[in-house]
Amino acid sequence: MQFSTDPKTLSNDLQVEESSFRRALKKIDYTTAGPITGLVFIIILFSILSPHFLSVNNIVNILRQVSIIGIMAIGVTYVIIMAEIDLSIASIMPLSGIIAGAVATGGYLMPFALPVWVAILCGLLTGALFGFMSGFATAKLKIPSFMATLSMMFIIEGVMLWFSGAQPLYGIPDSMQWFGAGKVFGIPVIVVIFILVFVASDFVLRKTVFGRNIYAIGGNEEAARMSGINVDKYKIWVLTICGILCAFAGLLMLGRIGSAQVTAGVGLQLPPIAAVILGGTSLFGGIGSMRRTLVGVLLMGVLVNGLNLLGVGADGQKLATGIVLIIAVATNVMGTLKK
Amino acid sequence: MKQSSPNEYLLYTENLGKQFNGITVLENINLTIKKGEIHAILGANGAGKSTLIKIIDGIHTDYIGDIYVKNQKVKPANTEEARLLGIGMVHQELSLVSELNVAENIYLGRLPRTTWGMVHYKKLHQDSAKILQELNMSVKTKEIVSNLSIADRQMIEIAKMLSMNTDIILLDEPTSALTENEVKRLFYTMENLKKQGKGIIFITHKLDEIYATSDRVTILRDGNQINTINLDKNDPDLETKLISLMTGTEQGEIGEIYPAKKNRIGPPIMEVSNFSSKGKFENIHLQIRRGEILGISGLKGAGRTELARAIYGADPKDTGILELNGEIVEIRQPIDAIHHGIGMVTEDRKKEGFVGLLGVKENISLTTIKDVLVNGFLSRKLEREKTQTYVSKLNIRMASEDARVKNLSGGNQQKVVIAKWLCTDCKVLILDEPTRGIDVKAKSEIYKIMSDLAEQGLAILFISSELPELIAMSDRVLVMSRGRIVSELSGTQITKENIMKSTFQESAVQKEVG
Repeated sequence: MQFSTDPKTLSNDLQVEESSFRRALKKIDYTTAGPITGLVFIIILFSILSPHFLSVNNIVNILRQVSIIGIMAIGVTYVIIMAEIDLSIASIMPLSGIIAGAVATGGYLMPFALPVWVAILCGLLTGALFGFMSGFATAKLKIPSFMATLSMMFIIEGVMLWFSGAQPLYGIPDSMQWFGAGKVFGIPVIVVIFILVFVASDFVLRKTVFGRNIYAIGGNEEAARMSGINVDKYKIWVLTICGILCAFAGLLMLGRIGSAQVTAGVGLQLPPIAAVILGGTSLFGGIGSMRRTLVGVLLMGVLVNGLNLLGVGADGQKLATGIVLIIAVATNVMGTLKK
Repeated sequence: MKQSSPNEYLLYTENLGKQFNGITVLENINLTIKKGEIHAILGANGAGKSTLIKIIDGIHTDYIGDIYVKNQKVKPANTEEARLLGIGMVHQELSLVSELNVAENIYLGRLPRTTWGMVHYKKLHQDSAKILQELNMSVKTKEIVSNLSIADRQMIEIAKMLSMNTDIILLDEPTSALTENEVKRLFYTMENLKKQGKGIIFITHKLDEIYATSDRVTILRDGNQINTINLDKNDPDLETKLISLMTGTEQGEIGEIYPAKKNRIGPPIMEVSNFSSKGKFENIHLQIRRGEILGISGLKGAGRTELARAIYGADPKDTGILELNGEIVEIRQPIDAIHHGIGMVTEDRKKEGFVGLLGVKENISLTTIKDVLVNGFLSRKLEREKTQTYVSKLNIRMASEDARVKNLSGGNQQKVVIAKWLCTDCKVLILDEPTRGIDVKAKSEIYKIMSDLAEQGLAILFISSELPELIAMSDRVLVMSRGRIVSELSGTQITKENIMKSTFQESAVQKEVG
């Protein structure tokens, strides 16, 4: 054994000195703490910059604005934790609204109107059907979910244009609009529904076998399969659930805008996915939670709302969202690399 | 121990060694390669042969010791640098780009250019054709590689190495995919290269190939250089000598790390008959009893893992019947195996054994999550309690039950994987290389666990490439070779010599086991 003067070994010795500080830094869980810190930071920032920001009205407003994207984000969170993706969410959403609207009013190709509850059921079934088809293509035909759901996106848009003739549909019954526009005890129904969906999904992910196995599949599909988890079944179910939740968002959208619109989903394909990632859920699966998604959704909502209050236009809002997203993903990736 | 002047060596190493995660896999290797020499390297699985030449080829760069090429101390940082030093390698795994054609593959990364910087296709195909001719191959240079047979691809791999025109040539089991005729052509080419003064390092598992080609042979065992000898082809005891060098004869250390064997064997529990899967294994019959540890020995590619995976339902089989307690059961996927009480600890624990991103407790309950439910929902408390039981039973060392399994040491990871099966009521447990890549202390703990489980009546199918553990732990050993069971050894027949003989001698008497 001889003593080395190799610079590599020397620098190793030096690192021991500075490592106590580094160790403290390493202990921080950036992926969880980062988005929450960001959220708190911009809330403080906007409350200083704008007097209207922290008003009850504005807070309710923010929640109402994020509800629809939030429910879609919750749906796609299941998918992303399972290490798959769904690009058809913003197509399922308007189609379900159009189907439900048509059934309730007898519009489009529907010859007669049916009760509202049947219409709602039809809307949800539409979402379930297309989600199921994506899931089947991914699990059984082994088509990567990126391609399966991208194809599904075009298929749904084609169906939607054919069914609606690209025309909007008015005269949605009030009882149906209530979900998107009504209030209970002064709180918008849409917000209550968002919170209920969040609480239920958070519970499913944390407390049920179903939720646990989604993490296992997302973390290591092969190990999950070798441990006796029916991976195919899970893929089909998870994409079906995502479809149902997007259909739910579509029903709320009917009340929000007061009509069924083919264009209701334009520009909404990626914001829900961005919100999930922003919250710290890993795009590669296995890591994440509904709580993180909630933080991500709020972060995006607060940012847009605050900039709006300050008079910043759509240009500035998009720019800011992009910058925040890239910072969030960068810290997320660095946090993952450290482990 | 160099006696002659180093000048005559194309390449030599001084005390070369390598560790993986703190485990020494290669130690104090002093290899010398002369000009115009074919130097064979012989050793069992895991003896360090591939590691050794991967160091020389610049693939493993964090080694200990020194490498000298033409008396210059070198430290190749990658294969590109190794090639510039005059070292070329033919890998065990094929590394061709299957969508490109033969010529493009031979000159991959070194395509000849025209003065305009474009690919000089004419020269490319001419040069390639010349090399193929040297190898006496009839393949067209414009043929797409994916259309070629495995044997032809292996020959293209060799052509690629030849095109580099290096002085030192590393061949890692080049013959495993070749037919007899092609092997002859390869040996002829090797002989030519030798005449040109090149030095060839040749790794093979087949003794007859060594006799046919090599001048000297270096024997490795457990990462140590046991000896380097001149091959005297007239020595009648050569084969016995080589096998005994490969296996080693000292057996003193065994008592320390292995638990004592106990008589605990009960009635038969599982019987496999007529298992076949094309290209993997053929007509396998085996029976295992309660409380028995049945060892399966063989080289890589002999079909051991493939057989185990077929029993467990991880891979499909062509034919075969599996009986448990005398009843025929159908196993199509792992979940069926688990329902019937068969568990499997896979060879590659990182890929198939655990979910690295999840914690210890989540991993332990992967197979038996229903046991930690209260009113249908997961109970963290119950899960934590269950985890604690196995953690103390198996002595798993970790920061907390929530520690991600990917951050644990290899030994602790393996214990987590085993714990996953202990909590199912499995009756047959398949262990595929359960001690690979873990330290001696953890190994002895795993042997203890195996012995305890067998005592409780579990039947264990134990696949291992490490003969000492296989011999010490198994009540019976089946030796597999080329997809068949070639011999069954029990009691005092279980010796290194017998296992090695069955493994390496192609002429071993085929024996039906059932």
